[in-house]
Amino acid sequence: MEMLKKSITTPDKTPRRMFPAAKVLQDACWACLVALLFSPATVFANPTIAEIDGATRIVTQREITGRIVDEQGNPIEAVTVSVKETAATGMTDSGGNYRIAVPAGGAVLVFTATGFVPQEVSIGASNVIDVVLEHSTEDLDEVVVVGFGTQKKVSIVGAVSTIAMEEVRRTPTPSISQALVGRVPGLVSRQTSGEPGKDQAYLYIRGLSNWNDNTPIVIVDGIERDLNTINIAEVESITFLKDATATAVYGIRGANGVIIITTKKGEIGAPVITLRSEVAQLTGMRFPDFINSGEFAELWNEARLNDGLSPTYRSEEILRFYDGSDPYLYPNVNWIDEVLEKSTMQTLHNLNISGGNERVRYFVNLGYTMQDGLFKTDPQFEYGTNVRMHRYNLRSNVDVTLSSNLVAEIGLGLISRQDQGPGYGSAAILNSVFDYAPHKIPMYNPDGTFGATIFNNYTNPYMQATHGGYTNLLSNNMQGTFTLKWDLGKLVTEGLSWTNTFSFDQNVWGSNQRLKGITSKEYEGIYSYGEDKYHVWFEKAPEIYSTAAGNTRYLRFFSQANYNRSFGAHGVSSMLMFNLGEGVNLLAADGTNALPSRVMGISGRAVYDFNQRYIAEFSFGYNGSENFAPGRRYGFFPGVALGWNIANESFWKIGQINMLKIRGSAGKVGNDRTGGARFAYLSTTGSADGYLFGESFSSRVGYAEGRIGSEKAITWEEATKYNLGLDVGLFRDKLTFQVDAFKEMRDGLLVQRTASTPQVSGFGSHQLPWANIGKTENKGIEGMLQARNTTAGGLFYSVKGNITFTRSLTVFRDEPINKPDYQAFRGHSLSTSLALVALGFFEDQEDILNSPVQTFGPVRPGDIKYRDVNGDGMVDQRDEVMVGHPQVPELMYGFGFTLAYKGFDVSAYFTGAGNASYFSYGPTVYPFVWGNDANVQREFYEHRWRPGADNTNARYPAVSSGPNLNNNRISTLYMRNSSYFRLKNAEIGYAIPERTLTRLKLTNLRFFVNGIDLLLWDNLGIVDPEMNNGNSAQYPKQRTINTGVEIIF
Amino acid sequence: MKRIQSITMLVSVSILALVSCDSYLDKGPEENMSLPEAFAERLYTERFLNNIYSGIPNEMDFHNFAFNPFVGGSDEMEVTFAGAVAQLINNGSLSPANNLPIWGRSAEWSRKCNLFLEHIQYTDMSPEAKSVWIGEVHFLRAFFNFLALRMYGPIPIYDHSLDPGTDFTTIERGTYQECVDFIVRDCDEAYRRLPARQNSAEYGRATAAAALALKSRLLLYAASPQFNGNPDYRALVNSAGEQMFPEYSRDRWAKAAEAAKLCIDFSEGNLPGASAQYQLYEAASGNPADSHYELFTKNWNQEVLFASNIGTNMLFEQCIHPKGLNGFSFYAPTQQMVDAYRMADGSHPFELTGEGQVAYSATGQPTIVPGSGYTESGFADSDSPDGYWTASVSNMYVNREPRFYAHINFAGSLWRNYRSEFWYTGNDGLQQGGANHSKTGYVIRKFADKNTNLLNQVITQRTWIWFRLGEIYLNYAEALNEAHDQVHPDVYTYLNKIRRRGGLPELIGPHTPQQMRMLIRQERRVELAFETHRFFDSRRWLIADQTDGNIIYGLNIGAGNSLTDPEFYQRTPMEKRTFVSPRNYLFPIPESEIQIVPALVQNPGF
Repeated sequence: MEMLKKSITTPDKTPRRMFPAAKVLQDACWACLVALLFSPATVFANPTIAEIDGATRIVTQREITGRIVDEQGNPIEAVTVSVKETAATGMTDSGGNYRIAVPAGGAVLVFTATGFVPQEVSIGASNVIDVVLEHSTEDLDEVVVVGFGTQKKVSIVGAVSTIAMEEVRRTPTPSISQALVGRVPGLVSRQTSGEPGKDQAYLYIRGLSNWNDNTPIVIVDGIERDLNTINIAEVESITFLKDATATAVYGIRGANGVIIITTKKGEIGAPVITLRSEVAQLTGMRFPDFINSGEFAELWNEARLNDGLSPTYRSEEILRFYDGSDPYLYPNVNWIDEVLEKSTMQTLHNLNISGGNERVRYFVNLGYTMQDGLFKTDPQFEYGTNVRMHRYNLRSNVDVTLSSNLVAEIGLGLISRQDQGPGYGSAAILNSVFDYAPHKIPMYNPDGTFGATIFNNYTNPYMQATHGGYTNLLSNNMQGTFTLKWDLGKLVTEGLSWTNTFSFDQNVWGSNQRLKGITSKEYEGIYSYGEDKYHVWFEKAPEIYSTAAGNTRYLRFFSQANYNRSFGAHGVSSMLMFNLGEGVNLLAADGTNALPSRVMGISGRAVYDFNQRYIAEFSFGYNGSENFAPGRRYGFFPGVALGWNIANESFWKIGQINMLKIRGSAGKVGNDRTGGARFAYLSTTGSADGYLFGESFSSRVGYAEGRIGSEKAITWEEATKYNLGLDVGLFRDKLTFQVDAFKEMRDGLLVQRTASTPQVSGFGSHQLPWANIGKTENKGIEGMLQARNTTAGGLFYSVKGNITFTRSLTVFRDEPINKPDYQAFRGHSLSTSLALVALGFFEDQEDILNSPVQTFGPVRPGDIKYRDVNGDGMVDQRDEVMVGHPQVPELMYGFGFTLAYKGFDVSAYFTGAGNASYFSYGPTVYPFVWGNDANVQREFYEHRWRPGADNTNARYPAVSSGPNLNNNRISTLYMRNSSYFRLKNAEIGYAIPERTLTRLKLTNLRFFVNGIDLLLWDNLGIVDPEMNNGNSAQYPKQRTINTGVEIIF
Repeated sequence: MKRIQSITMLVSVSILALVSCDSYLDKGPEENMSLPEAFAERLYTERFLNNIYSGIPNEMDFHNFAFNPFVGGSDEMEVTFAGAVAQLINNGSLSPANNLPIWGRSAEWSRKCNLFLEHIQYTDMSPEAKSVWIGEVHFLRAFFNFLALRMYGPIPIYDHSLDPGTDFTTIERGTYQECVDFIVRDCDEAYRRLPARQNSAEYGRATAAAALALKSRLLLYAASPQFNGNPDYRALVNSAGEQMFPEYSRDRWAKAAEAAKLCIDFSEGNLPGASAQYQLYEAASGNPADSHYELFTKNWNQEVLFASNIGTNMLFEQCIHPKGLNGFSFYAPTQQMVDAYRMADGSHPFELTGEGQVAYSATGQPTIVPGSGYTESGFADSDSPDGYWTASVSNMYVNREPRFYAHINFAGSLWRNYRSEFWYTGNDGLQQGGANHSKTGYVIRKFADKNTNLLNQVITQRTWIWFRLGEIYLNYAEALNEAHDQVHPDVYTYLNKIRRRGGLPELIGPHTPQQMRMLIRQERRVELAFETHRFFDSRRWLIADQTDGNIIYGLNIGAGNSLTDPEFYQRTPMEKRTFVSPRNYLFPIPESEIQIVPALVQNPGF
């Protein structure tokens, strides 16, 4: 108790034993008012300086020396060494060495340093005391970046999370979003592709809340920017704003949450040069497994027999498919092996220089990223046809102190990117690779030309990938930020500053496509006179060359006043900001979209704390968008939060618990990215389909009624958010624990009233007015646990984990009045699917006769038997029900550990997801839906229902030789649990010891090997569980094994 | 430094001052016109009209798009196309869950017609020209409503555009008669205002002849058993309590005959003051097969009363070509269709049912009429003198009526000097073609243009004929035959015109009206094959439960090693079709619509 009292830095002189709530509230209100008015604070007394008892006597002295190092053994400079209950102090030098004279009676040495846990050591017999100081995680002055500013960590009462950058850097990826997966409580994510340049993970803060755009906005250095332009090496910190208090300042943009990224800045000191080079091997994971030609032919015959038709392939033909004796007429081509490499490579290089003096500080990073794709290439072409991304990042942050109270900050980001790919586009080629049956055509004809047939537009997948030409996209992204910070502390009042920021961002891109038309021939055997017989499908055609371009620019201006000051035990931190923004899409397709999009608003925040014990925060955004009708443009979004750190109370006696903070917040935030068209409130008329008239088929343009507007109705959607949180710190934050429960009501989701307007009214879906009528509810809980410690033996370890569970429900959505409840969206999860409930397979004709009539198409034994949900004796689409979990998982978790000892470090991180469903559909699981053209997944082949066989373990229906209208539909039979658990990331590193470094004249040299997506445990097997529903023709995710070195000069 | 501070402050304050809150965000598009503003410009009014024309569905596509599931959904043809709506119809699985586009589209384009009629008052143009446009829009509204009526029976019809705020739950289906009367009034209005024929630069626009043709078909349908006193529909009552379909009245046949005759007389210039604008098309060569080829490939010939310009249609061309000509063979006429063609002398090769259809045994074998000259064994030993067949084709294809050779590609037939090989190992067969083989052993030849070459990607511009004079002749003959107790001489006159052009000998009486009915039905089936008539004819005659609920036959495409391999020419079940009566006589109202508007009464059986 005594100790705790002393730890309060500014003793409170006023005799107050109790702090009545009313008084606290009053203080809080005052603080807010004062903060908002920016008036000089005179209501509080100036802080008094703690009196120091100078009555110390020197009796005898003893000198003690020692060296102070951190957990890694690095010497610590400027550690204050004092002798307890005396005035004697000392300080360590750059080598971490100290020397202190201990007065008589001095028994304990106290070591304190910024960023380290203070340590007390009893003086024993030895005159040499070496100490290892632990890095402190409990830093009272630690600040966290929040919306339009920073806030002391201890005073944060909203739901705000940060991520440790050293963890992010362990993930060797060009896409920063991948590195965040599973590491932040409340962050829900899915990565659906491994394609270079398109492998970003979708990130959702606290799950889904609407049907349109659920992605959070990303703020880079104060400006809304694209997450995918940011290079991990440039990043200083990343903050996630989750609840209303934290996001209210973003007003109509903040409802989906906010990710704030701050790039690195220079610090005073000699230039530090850091070089980090990494090379990785990427290995495609979960390529689908298809059956071979012989199996295919047999399956096709089985399908024909099932359909009561004669088999197509004769046994000698099937034999030739199996034995490969006639590879031209009876080919067996595994197109995945022919077109795709098993693995490819990636390199990341970053060189940065930082440093500065009193006048100028700088940080400059140059980054180069290259990631290759999995497509094979033909060396005869000089141009590349493989997917490949090159990216150059330049980030320069220069701060100039113009005068003692005026600082200019010039931030510049240049991102130049080149995305190359095959002419047909990787998506089309992957589709043909994954769909093309193995028996259709050989890769090459006997004469060396490419095999092809009418299927897939007269091409074969290899020919498409390697000889189809190329696409090339160049994009240049410029991010410029100019900020002037004016400290008005001396001019007006202490703690007041004024910041003006102007930013310009421009993204310019252009692409070209060179599509080659290649002669394609089908080999048909040998003429009787001995010549090869070919059917020519396509004659070589002139290449098609096309280009596309884009050019968008954003200008923004912010003017912001900050007021941060402490008055005794009262702390005030506040901000008031005005902003303007304008975006122009120069190459928009029409006049409406070419109009600049504009936003304007003010935001503010006031935080008041008393002794860091009671904390109150009020924040608001008041902003508008030109996209809505006059009078409906501006919205006011307030957020309020209260916190109580019980561990700072005088009655708190459990010393092990150094923090116990209860937080609660409530507020409103908006979302203007409603998926609606621009100016949706206006009625429009516009160009429409025309018609061909006359003998010469001359085309005449058309014009038509467009959207029917709704001046009164359309505005942003509004989220009302509640958050209740608990922060616990144990053993001086060696063990921290955080849990948040949240609830969000989203109201006014913008929809067109399509579902409640009958088509027979004559309104086409494009004409219907938009209205803010949708409602959703999202609830969840998230938690985080972290422990870190260094043992006496110098072993550092940390363990951390987080878990998030969210569930979103549709409360109201435009639906027909008579839609049955079991099919309606209302009351169901936001993205569950409507599907039939599969009961199994019809055993025989009798089983069919005794079951409700299935009306989709003819039914045979071995076909899927569905549940007659509405009990009307018929199975039809009225029996579809909402089933399964959403594709975006409801449950996400991650945990991992780090161990470090004498320069070696090992870390691993596991992530997992639960409550997610995957539906497979499409030609490879609906065999022969396209006739015998498309591949069949081995998964289907091995688990199909077979006539006359033991079908107790059959997972898929009997095979048909064409579309099977009964089986080929979305049902629970094709639904899979897509929960997963994976070793997301692991790293082993070794830092060269200091002695060697000194010899090499280096500050640091570390080698490391790390990887992404190393191991996977799941139920799906056939495709990565994060992939999109469907047919698996998606660019596979890749396992990354990366080696690198980091050198600091 | 003081200066920098001052400048900063000045700039910031001036930006703040310059921006007054709402004006900065006042940024709507300026070029947007309201409907009255758009209609004030004649140019835009015309464009509005062009857009209404674009609502005419592409009936040329028999495959996927549900605007014409009718050809593949009848016993004329099998459409091999994954997911084609015709397949739903054929296996009887069309259900209220299927929302076919015509239902909503007819209403949507009727709304555009109503908007046009409501706003053309704002257009500054000569009253004469305006009247023509108004006439065109009346025709188009009639046409769109007819397209839905023939599928669904009574539909909600509006003479005005609805407001988006309308309480949609009050929408209801009227009666069939109300719908017919409404469409007839539109046709009459169009007839009054429109020229008999548009000039060649405006082909495709509605004409008075088109309006009369539409009225003829509408009234023929309305007089037919399905809609005229059908006992199956007697119990069907709409939400207003009205019986939706009328009791039988023979007078409807007389009205249908009258409408058809008016269309013929007007088109051929037989009316006082009218000039002949249309006539039955005959090729210069006088060859009946040539006449039928040119009728569909010479765009806008004299027989065309109304057609739409489709332009080039790659997928259609692929579907009607065999693999050997780079096609898909996806439009495969059935053996039943092939059997419907008579012999060159006009005799029918097979025994018929009382409804005039070929009678099949349980195993799909028809009974060959002795002495008809038809045989299914052996192969031709010489070429046809007219070039209709060559030596070695199956005797099934020898000496048939000329339209057979104009409509059907069969094994061994020559097309653009290419010999079709539909047997198993043939170039167009199952083994070589993979998915691209004909499912019946036949591919449609009607509509195919010899100038189209898929290998060189040369594709000709096509029209789709909605109404032609030949149909109106048959409409007239049928209605007149039903309206009287004896066969009216005009029935012979007009039926014989069609037969003569088709290369069949003329009929000479006497026949009973019942005999004549069968002859007219056979004639419609052949003359109008694949033109979207068979589906509706088999329904309005109430014979679809016999024609569309059976096994459909083709040849044995899984067999045959050569043109003369008899294995291939075995009649083989191609698919078993399902037809539930009376359910499948009309299309189901989409469930999604009834969920929104519970007052929309569902059609029987769904």
